[in-house]
Amino acid sequence: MTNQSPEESKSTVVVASHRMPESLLGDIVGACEAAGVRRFLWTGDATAAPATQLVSWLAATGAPPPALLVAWLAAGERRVPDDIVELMTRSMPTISLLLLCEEPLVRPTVTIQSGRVTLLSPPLSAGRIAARIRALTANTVSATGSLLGAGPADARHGPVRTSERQHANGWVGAMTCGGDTPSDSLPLVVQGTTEGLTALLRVDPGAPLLVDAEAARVADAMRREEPDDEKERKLRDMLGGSYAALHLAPDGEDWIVYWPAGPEVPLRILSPMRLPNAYNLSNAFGKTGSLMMRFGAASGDVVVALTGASGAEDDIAKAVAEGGPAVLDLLTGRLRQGPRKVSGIVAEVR
Amino acid sequence: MTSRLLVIDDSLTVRKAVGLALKNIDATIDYATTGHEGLLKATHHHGIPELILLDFVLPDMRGIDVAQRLSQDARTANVPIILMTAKDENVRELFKGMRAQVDYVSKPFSPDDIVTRVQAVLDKKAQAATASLRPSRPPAPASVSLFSFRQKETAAKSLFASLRPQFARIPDWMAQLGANQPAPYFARKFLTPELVGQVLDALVPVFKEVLGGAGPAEPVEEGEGSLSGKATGWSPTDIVKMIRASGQTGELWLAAGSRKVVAYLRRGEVLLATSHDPIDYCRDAKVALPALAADVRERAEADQRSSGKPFFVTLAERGYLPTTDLAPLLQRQGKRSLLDIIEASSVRFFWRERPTHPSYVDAYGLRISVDQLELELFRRPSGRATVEARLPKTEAVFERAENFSRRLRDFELSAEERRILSLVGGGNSVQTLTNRSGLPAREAAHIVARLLHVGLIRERHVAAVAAETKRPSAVMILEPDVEGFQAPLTKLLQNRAEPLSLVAFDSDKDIFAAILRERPRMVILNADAAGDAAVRAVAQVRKADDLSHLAVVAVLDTPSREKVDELSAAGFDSVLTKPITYVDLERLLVA
Repeated sequence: MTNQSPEESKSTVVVASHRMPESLLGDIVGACEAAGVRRFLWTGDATAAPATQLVSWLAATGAPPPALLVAWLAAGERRVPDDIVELMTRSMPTISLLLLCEEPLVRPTVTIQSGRVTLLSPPLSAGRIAARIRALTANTVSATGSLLGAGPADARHGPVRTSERQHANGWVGAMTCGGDTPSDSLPLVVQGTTEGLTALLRVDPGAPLLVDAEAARVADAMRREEPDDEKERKLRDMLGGSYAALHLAPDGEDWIVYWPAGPEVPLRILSPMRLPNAYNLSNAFGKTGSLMMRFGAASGDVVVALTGASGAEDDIAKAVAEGGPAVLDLLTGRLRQGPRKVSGIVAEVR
Repeated sequence: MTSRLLVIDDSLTVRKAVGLALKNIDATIDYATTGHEGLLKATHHHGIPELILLDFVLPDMRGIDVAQRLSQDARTANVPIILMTAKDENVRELFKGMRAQVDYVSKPFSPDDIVTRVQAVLDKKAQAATASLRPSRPPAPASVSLFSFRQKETAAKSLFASLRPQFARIPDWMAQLGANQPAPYFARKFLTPELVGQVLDALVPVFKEVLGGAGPAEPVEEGEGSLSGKATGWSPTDIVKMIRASGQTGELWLAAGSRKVVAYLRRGEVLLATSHDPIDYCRDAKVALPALAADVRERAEADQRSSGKPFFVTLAERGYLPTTDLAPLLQRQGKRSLLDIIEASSVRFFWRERPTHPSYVDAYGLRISVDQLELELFRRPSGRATVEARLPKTEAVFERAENFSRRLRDFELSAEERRILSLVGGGNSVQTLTNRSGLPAREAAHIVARLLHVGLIRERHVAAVAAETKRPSAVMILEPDVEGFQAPLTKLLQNRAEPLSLVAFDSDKDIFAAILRERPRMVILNADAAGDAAVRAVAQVRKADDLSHLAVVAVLDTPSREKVDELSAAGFDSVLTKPITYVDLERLLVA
């Protein structure tokens, strides 16, 4: 195993800076710094094979293969520029594309090509761009495999630990604060192309930790096509009142939430495209008496589940305009200022 | 007698479909792909068509504009038109009051649709002709000769020189006929200045058709596939566009006074343009040159003066400039040289087809978009003056041109132009574009005019806009609004391409009466809050014939399958549970 320096472990992002307004380029450079990625500016080339030149140049720098290409689409343009297509199809067939659109889209973000291309609608602020870059460069699951467990925790933030993962249809950030024993580990995340995305949050502090195999069984029950009554019964058997579970279906079409924590522990869904923009789902659980709920997922949805108060409740609705990673930053920032024992999940649909 | 029909449609599929459908009709069919081509063919020397099949949306103009131009010409004013359109009543409205008979066929059409309508028109004309007692007299052919005898003689020699190798290959069939002379003898004998003069005169309509204006003002010069003249009736950019349409490769020389610029084109696209004046060409180049020995500079300048080879290329070849930056530099300077010369009042031009270019053109040529040139011309003071005379009215409404996305790739728009362009559409008038862009009114109008001139946008007909503005423009809502439902909804509705306002019901009393007063596009009722009143209201709406367009949506605070079933059965178009997604509402709004 090789030891990588912090700089080398950073994801690589290529910015197609030609055609881009200078002010936007400045914001992107700032956004890359905020997202903690290495950025390379690609200024295009007059020759016939610009993409090939970029690939060999990147290889010469020793940077890891780029995970993301950031480009700009002028108002009215409806096609990805030819040189970008060339780069994505021939030279870097696995790279994702973040296309910053000058013209408003139908939604704040639009994902196409099975999650490979993300279009970001105005306003193109540095904060929103940084959040998108983070969501699109977080640890990626392989096409067929799955990741299980809490994932590599980022130890930089003292008492607060976080982990971020991305999925073809979404992104999830897990956080925990104030714990000093193994039982205070990060919420569990199970994800994969066939499983969808499942996050498990321990809402009963005294409950035993779930082992990976148990978490995988929960994820399987969440994903399985069966009547909701049957699904809820199985989840009650497996999780009881100990764990809450949040699941984004593999096709990104549905949220399924198992919430035994009661209406006093807030479970929020936020999105500028939802009415109301911020909604406490745990109230609805209280009214229906059910522990499980299924509802349609929509691009831009951010679900925030916390085991306790974070001190940032009033500002979450504002932060969500910049996306899930910005909400995670807000929560962890407040917890660093005033640590308290709380764990949480922030999940976003692309 | 065989009839002559003219089909004006830019779609090859439609032209082929019409041709196939009419193959059994006794008619010769002529085709045009643009409005201008159609207008030329409607009046050219083959005679006036008896019927014109006209597409409503053409690349360069609308069908109504073509019809109006036809109606202004006495020769074509009465030619019947069959309009082929996918649009409906709005379009028919535009053709009311036309002098000519106008029939319609909706796209997509079946062969029978076309045959029936064409046959009906032709039968009607035949009957009218039989009934007429006065025989019609064909117009006398116009006798035009644009060329002097000396010019014809020069052209004959040129043609002979060009055709000589071809003549040499003529089989000796003439000898078999008893003549001893070789084929070139006959060629020279027959290719007299008089005959060539007749050929050139016969070509005048072709020139007119191709160039869209008068024929060349100067004689055809020597060379293969050459064309020359004075760009007084059209802009040099039009000439480049014409060459682009034909996909030719060669050189276009432009001259104004002592200034001379040559543009190298490959398959119709300008690859590189250079001036013969190095001082003028290097102006504003913003490039750091090393200290140059006098002889080096003089040599590079002399190269440019004699052959047009750019000064910078010579320097780069000698190692004084890095070749990596050359392509964008030449593109920038070439564009500026072209703009400067195009701006001149009288430009002479000379086009020569050549399969190859100087090597530096292939090495460093970077495409110069002629559309972008045109746009930049309009940005210049002289272009602004041209636009000034044709500024749009504040109430005029524009929309994106049909081939907008494809064309946009050829432009580098300024931030202000992009801002205006992003607001065009949705029935926004110039006044609205001004208000929403935050630009000064005159600047916004200039930008609209520029975008119009370069064909990125087009004006919408007042009648069509008026018809659209009659559509209901409000959404009504009954919602307790505890969590903040109405404010974000108001914002989303206002940001639509076609903005809508949100009107709240005063109470859950007399919901139906309020709907009748406001006549909204959509009604949103919180079914948990309104209860039976919501169900009663939707039942009344469903009974009212004149509210059949109205979408009625129920919103639930808590998910309940039973309630969803109950409300759907009551007549709600959709039952949504909070937090609803705006996309679901939008889908209903556009349905």
